[in-house]
Amino acid sequence: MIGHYLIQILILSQVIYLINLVVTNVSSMFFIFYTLPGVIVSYFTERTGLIRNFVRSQTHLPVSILMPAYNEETTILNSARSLLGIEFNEYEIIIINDGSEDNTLEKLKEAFDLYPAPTPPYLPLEHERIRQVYHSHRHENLTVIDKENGGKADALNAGINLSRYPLLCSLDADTLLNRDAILKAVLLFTRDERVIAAGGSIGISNGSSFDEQGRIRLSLPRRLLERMQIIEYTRAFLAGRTFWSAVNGMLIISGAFGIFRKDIVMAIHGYRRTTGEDLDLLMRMRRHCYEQKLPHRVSFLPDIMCWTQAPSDYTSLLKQRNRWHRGLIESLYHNRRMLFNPRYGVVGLLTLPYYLLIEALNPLITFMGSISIIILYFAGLVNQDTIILFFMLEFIWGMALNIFSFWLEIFVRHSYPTRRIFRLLADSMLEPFYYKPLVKMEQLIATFTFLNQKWGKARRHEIGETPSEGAADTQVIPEVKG
Amino acid sequence: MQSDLIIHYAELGILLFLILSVGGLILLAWVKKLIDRYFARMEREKKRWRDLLRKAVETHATRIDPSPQSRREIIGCALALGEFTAATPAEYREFCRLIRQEKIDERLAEAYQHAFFGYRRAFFLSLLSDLPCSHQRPLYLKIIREESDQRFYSLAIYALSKTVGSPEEAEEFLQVLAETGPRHHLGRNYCEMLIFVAFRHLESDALAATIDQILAAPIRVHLLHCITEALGRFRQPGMSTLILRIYQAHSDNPELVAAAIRSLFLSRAEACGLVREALRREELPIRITCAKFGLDLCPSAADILAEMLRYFFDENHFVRQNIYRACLRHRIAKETILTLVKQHFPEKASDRFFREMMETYDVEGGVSA
Repeated sequence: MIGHYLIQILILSQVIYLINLVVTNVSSMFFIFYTLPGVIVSYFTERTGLIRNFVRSQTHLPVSILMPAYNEETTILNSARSLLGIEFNEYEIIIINDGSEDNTLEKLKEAFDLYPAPTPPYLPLEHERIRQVYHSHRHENLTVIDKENGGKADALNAGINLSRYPLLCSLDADTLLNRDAILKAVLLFTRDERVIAAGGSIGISNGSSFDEQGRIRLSLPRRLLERMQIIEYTRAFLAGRTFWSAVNGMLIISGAFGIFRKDIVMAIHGYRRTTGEDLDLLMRMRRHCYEQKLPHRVSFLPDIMCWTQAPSDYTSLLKQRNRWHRGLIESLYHNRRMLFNPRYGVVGLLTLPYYLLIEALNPLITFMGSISIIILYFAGLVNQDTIILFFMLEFIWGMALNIFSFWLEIFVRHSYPTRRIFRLLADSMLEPFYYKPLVKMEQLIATFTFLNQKWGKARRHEIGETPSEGAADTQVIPEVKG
Repeated sequence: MQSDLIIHYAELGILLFLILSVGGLILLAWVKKLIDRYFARMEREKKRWRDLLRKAVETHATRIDPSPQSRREIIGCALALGEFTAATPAEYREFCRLIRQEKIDERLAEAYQHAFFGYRRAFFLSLLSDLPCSHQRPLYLKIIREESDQRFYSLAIYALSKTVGSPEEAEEFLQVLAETGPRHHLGRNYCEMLIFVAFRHLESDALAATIDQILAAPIRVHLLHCITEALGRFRQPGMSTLILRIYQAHSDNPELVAAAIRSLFLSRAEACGLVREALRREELPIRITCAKFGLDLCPSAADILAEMLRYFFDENHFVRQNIYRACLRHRIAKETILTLVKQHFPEKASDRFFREMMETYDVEGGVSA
C-alpha cells in the first residue's frame, strides 16, 4: 500500500517536473523571439542625434547616485572616480559607508579631501545612526555618509534621506558605470512620464581591463566559473528582462545599477531590510502604483550600462546565489497579495506567477524530478528512452536556449566579438553538468532557509586583478579615470 | 510501441532544434558583420559628405558638388547633415535649402514609407529626424497622429520640432505637442528639450511673437512650464523679458514661478522684484528655488540678504541647504550672516542646524570678515 502511494508520488513529481521543464524552456524561447526585433530596432536607432540634442539642451532630470559600501577598500576609489567622470550635467554622488571595518572611509577621506558637514535634523526614512556627513573640497557634488552598520537597504535609505534630486540611482560599490549609462537611462524617464524605474544589462568585468578614458577592453576571464556567469547573465538580462520590460511586467532591476523615481520610493518608505532589497523595492513600488491607480512603467535597456565583478570562487558564488534565492522567496511571500490578483495587472497575473512557479520553485521541482526519475528507472517503471528524452529536454534544450540568448547578445553594444561568443558557447556545453547543478543545489538549500537574513560576503578583487584569456588582453589599468 | 515512437521523434526534434539554433547564430553573426560593415561604409560616406557640405555652406554654393545619387550616398549625406548645428537662423535656412535642392529628405521619406521591416523604418525616421527641413512636416504629422509605438512617436515629434522656422510653425508644433503629448505620456523634460530645439531657429522677433500668441490663447500650464524652462536653457539674457512675460501672466502657479526663477538665473537676468514677491510665497517649490537662486537675481546680494536669511530656518532641509550654499557661493561673510540673523531673527539664532551650518561655514570655503 505504502509502495503504491510512493510510486504515485514519484510519478506525480515526474509529471510536474516535465511540465515545469517544458514551460520554462518554451517561455524562455518565446521571450527571446519576442525580444529580438526590439533589440535590432534599438541597434539601428541609437545613432540618432536625439541624445546629442538632449545633452545640449541640458533638459534632463538630475540624479542622485547612491553607492553603499561595506568593507570595499579595494574597489571604492575606482568606482567613485568612474562616477565623477560620467557624461551628465547635474548629478550628485552619495557614498554611504555602512560601518565598514576596513579602511574604506579613510581611503575616501584621503582621496577626495573630505571635511565634516552638517547632518540634517529631520530624516523621513528610518536607518541606523549617521555618525558624520562629509563633503569634498575637490568635488562639490560628492557627499560621503559615515553610518553604523545596518545592511545595504539601510545604507540606501540613509542615502535617500540626504539626496536632493528627483531620480535615485543605486549602484554597487564594485560597479563601474559606462560614461553614458545615466544619460541613456534618464532619457527613458524623460521620454515617458509613466516610467518609475529603469535599468539596463549588467556586464561582467572579470578578466577585462579599462583604458584611460574608462572604456572597457572586453576579454573573457580565464576561470570557467566566471565565464559560466557571463553566459547566465546574457540569458537572464537579454532574454528575460527585455521581454518583461516590453510587456510592462518587469519586477527586477538589478541592485548593481538601477534608477528609480524618488517620490514613489519615498511613498513606500524606502527600502525594506531584506536580503533581496532590489527585487523587494520594485515589487512594492509597482504594488503602490497599482493600488493608487497610477499609470506606470518599468523600462529596461538591453545595452550594457555598467560592469560588475562576478564572484570568482565557489564560496562567494554560492553565498550570492543563496542570498538571491532567499530574497526572491521572501519578496514573493511579502507581496503574496499580488499573486494571481487581476487588480495588479500583468504583474499579478503573469510576472509573479512566473517567478513563483518557474523561478522560486524550480530548484525544488528539479530536485524532486531528478531523484524520482532515478528511482523509477531502477524500479523498472521508465525505460532508457524516457531518461534520454528528459536529459535532452533539460540539457540539450537548455544549451539551445543559451545559443538563442547569444542571438540577442550579437546586437548589443559592448558585446563580445563573434569568436569570443563561440568560445562562450563551447563553455555552455558544460553548464548543465557543472554549473547548473551547483547553483540549483544552493538554491534548493535557500528554499528551505529563506528566513535567514544574513548577507554573506563575496571576495573582492581590484578591477583588472582577475586573470583574463589571451596575453594581449591582460593589460591591467588599475584606475578608471573620468 | 506508440509512446516509443513519440519519444524518438521528440528526441530528434530537440536535436534538430539545437542544430537550427547553432545555424541561426552563425547566420545572425554573419548578418551582424554585414550590418557593421555597412555602418562602417556609412561612416566613411559621412566623413566625405561632411567635407563637401562644409565647403558648400562656406561658399554659399547653390548645390552640393557632386550631388548624392545612390541610396548609400543619400544616407551618408543625411548622416553628415544631422551632425551640423546651424549657428544662426540664416545658416539654418541655408541647410534647409541644400537639403531641398538635393531632395535628401524626399528620398529618405520615400525609403521610410516603402520600408517593410520596423527596424528599417526606425532607421530612416531617425535619419530624417536629424534633418531640419519643413517639407516633411505632413509626414511627421501623420506619424504623430497615427503611430501608437512610443519610439516612433518620440522620433517623429522630435523631427517636427527641428522643422520649426516661423511663429506659425512654432504655434502649430506647440498645438500638436499639447494634443498628442499627454496621449503618449511624454515627460516634461522631453517637452522642454523639444521646445528648446523648436525655438532655436527662430529670430528673436519671431520668438517674441510666438510667446505673445501662446499667452493670448488658452494653453495648458504644463506646456507653459516647459516653455519657461526651455527659454532658460538658451542661457541668454535676452530671454528674460519673455520669461517675465510668462511669469506675469501666470504668477499664481507655484511650479511656474519656480520655473521662471530657475530660467531667469540661467539667463543671467536681474529680477530682484520677482524675488521679493517670491519671498512672500509659502509654496515649497518657490521656497526651494528662491533659496537657491534668489541672491543671484539681484544686482547686489546685500539688497536682499536680510530677507533671504529666513530660509536658514525653513522646515525643509533642502531650502536650508540651498540658502547655505548660495551664501557660500556669494562669499558672504559668516559674521554678516550672524549679525543679520541676530537683528532680524533673534529668536532663531540658537537653532541647532543653523549653528551647525555656521560651524562648518569656514571649512566649506565661506569668508570670515
